[in-house]
Amino acid sequence: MKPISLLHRQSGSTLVIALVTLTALALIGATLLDTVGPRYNATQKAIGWSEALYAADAGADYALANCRLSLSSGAWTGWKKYNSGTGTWVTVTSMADATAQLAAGNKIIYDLPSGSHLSGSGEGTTDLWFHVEVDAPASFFINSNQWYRIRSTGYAGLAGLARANSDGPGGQSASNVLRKYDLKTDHFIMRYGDYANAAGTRVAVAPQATRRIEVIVKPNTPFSLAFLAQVPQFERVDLATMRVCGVFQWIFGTTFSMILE
Amino acid sequence: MRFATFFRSDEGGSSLVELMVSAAVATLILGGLITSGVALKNTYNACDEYYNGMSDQMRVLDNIALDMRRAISGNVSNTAQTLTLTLPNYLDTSGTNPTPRTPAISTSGVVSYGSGNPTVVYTLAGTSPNQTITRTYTPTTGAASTTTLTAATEDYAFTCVNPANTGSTANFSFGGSGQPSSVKITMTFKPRFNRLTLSSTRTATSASITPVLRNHL
Repeated sequence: MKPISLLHRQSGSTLVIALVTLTALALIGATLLDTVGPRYNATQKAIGWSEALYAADAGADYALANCRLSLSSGAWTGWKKYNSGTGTWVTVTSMADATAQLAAGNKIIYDLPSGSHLSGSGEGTTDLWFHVEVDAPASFFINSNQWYRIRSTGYAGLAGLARANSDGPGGQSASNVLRKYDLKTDHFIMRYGDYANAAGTRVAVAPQATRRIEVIVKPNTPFSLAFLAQVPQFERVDLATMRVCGVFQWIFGTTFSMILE
Repeated sequence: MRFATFFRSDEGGSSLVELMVSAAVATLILGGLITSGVALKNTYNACDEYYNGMSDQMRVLDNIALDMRRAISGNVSNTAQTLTLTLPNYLDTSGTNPTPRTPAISTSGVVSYGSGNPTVVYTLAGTSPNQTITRTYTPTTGAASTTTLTAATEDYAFTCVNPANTGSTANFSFGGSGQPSSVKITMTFKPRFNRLTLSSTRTATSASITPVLRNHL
């Protein structure tokens, strides 16, 4: 009787075991990515939402600086006014033009040019910009002094897919709760309208976080200050940098700051 | 006889001792696999719960920071575990779409939006170990609405103190003349997955913010 060879039974399992092992590892890896990915996405978008407020503050600061500059020269460069004849927003021709628009109760606006966006590296958003509007309603003429209203909207570009994870408690998708990411449309325009669109208008956007603040700007007249002062351009109001001069000079400051969202 | 011996030696190897040894090894391997699988699952759940706790924590602190920055004034009751904020009546919600109001400015320079002021109250609700944090918004007209900001699994808690006197948990008001212009808010949660139930498990999750009221007097 011929002996039975066991050699062939000891081969052929390696490939199967390798495939099973690889499948198991792939499943573990996929589960891990499926878990970590949305959380990373949620955290990054939340950081972007926080940073959008800095952009809105920067816009308000820029407008406030122009209010101050309007007392010397160089203010409102690049700002736009509404041309009712053409129904478009056109660049103001001069500081006097912008000032006349404000005096007439009209709004002037400014969009940070794409080449000047506030950029960052590292975690969170890498692209920040703002849109700011300034006007002076008739009711803002107090004690013979003109007050101004600044509405600044800060934007943070959100990287990644148009998804909002964990914005609601328990990981639910409840974007209306707090951060209101603009994943497909601009929710501010949709809800409140803006200078160019009525409320309810759907304006498609790339994923972004948006914050809006309103600042009421109060003039500080020479009579409310201890001495007359002139503020050098693009410098903060600081007693150390003020110098006594022979002309009446107003220094504008914020008196009320409202964060809409 | 030779013939039979040949086959026995070739097909053997399953003696009782060998069987027991192989069964023991198999049990060890299987036990190890099951134990590591369970440990992996527990770790996954623990990390998931911890992330959810941190996510809720970030949401609550972001909510409070938003409301604090736009608030006019408020008060803290660490006794009742509440933070109450008075907000400007900025939005006119009487129409189809909410509309930002134009403020009235008095001759003395006081800015006010609309009449009356909405309030927001942050409250610690429920009992340990299922404490949650809620936000109740009360408009000047209409019914109040309450939103639960956290999931009920991590036993949340928060304290509010005067940044100038962090050692005291006494109740206080802020935003008014001569009152603090900011509040330090510390929020913690207690992860469900912990072996030793140490008090430090809660302390380790502590996160604080100190937002300033932009419109304080």
